[in-house]
Amino acid sequence: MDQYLKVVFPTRRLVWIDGVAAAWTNRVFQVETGHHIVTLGPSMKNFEPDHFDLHVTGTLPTAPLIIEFTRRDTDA
Amino acid sequence: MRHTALAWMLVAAMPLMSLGGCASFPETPKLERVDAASGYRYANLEDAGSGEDLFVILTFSGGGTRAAALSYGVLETLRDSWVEIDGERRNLLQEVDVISSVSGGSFTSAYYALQGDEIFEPGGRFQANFLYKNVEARLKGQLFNPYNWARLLSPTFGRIDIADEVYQDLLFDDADFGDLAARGRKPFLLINATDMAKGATFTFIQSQFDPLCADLNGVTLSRAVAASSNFPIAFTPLTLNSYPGRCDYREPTWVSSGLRDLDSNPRRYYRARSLRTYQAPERRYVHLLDGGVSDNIGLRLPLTALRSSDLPWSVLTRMNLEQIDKLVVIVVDAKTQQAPDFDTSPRAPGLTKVVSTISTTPMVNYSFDTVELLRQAMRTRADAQRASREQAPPGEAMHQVELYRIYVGFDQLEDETERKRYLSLPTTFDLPAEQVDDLRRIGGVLLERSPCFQSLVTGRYDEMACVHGGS
Repeated sequence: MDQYLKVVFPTRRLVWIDGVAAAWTNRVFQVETGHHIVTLGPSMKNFEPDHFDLHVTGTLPTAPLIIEFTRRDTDA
Repeated sequence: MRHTALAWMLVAAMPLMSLGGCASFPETPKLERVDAASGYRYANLEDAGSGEDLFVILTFSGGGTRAAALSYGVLETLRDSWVEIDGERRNLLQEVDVISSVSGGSFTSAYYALQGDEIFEPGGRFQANFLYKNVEARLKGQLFNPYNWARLLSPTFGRIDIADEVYQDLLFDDADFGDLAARGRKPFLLINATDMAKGATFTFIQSQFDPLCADLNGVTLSRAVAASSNFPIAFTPLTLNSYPGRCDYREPTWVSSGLRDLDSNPRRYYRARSLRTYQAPERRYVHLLDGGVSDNIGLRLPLTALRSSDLPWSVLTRMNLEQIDKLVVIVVDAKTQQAPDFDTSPRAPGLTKVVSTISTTPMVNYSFDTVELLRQAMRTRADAQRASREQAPPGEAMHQVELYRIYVGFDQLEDETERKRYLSLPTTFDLPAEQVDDLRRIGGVLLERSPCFQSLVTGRYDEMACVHGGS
């Protein structure tokens, strides 16, 4: 029931899972098997996509699910 | 003449009968509006975020005074134990972050959470009024009091409400969770009972009360302890009011995610479904039984916190956020194991023995599996950390946490005579003083004998002893 996830972003940011700050970017971390809404901390909305709606299963600590947020220039 | 006497008795009994009609359990206060910044929640403790690098969880099992005394002995030993972290000497008892308890263990945990070190005062209130007191006689005295017979005629007042009053008088006065919240200090107390409708653990924390729109701040500690130690049949179920849909409650985001997990993670699915049932408008009451019915170790909720980010005080989240470097889980299990005598005879065991077997065996087996689940969870985490460390580039591997699993139970005793003696102690609220003394002592001895505990206090982490078993 333990799964492993890595959220890639150019800088170190808080990763929010199901509405709460739950991990850091660019580092493998453990999550519970199942569906999760994953996004980055809301302080700076300079990333896309807005969020991932994932079903996390079948991962390994050595083969985590890797998702990537890209930096988006904020509207001037 | 006989009719006259009967008439007079009836007249005399009428005030009592009418009093009985008035008796009711104390109403659970309504929560006007859910506010995450108030109420008894881990995040609202003043020291919530401090000292989490060493995160200590204690679990106290059920087992009447036997369990209360064993867990008391463990607290005494922690009070006298120290660890050194980054050159700083820290007291282990002060480092306890969470205590999760059931039934007999809840008396010790609740009193300590409320009164702190006062619990250790020789001849003090906890020792005099609970550990060394014949609480059972006090309970029976109240149950056989004619005044209470009248009150018990009321359909909304039961034997458990009398037990609540006794515990209030003996230990807790009118202290409530508002007092505990105002105290604002760890350990975070998890008193566990069983929701009779769902057969699931019900914990006295505000996040559990939110979907009920009930205010835990106004619930007394005595009531929580009574619910947790509400031995079925001896006592009646304990009732709480529920006011669903009347406090602007918004369910946590994980619930809608979890409701999609029936196939891949049914445990999470049922957790989500269970939380949602409290919002059903027709659920206006929650009836609680002894916490031991759903988990006699008090470990299930900490286990969830260890493997899921869904709980507001999730341990997994704190590990992922790199806040925890050492995680210590001390399981204090006062389980007993009576050697059956019926296998020496060809006669079928009698009804009492059959009833006893069918009522206790599932609980014992479930508790065993719960403790094994902790071993498995820690082993999986340790293996994952190692694999990740070996494979991922530096700085990208999983956060490395030292994991300490310490089990305190009578079956750890090596001496067979001693082991048998403890394993045959009865479950009661009345133990002789010398047995209470022995239990306090053996709680400390078992803790100190644990190779994992030694590895904690000496600062030489032994993963083999703490996670895998054996050294």
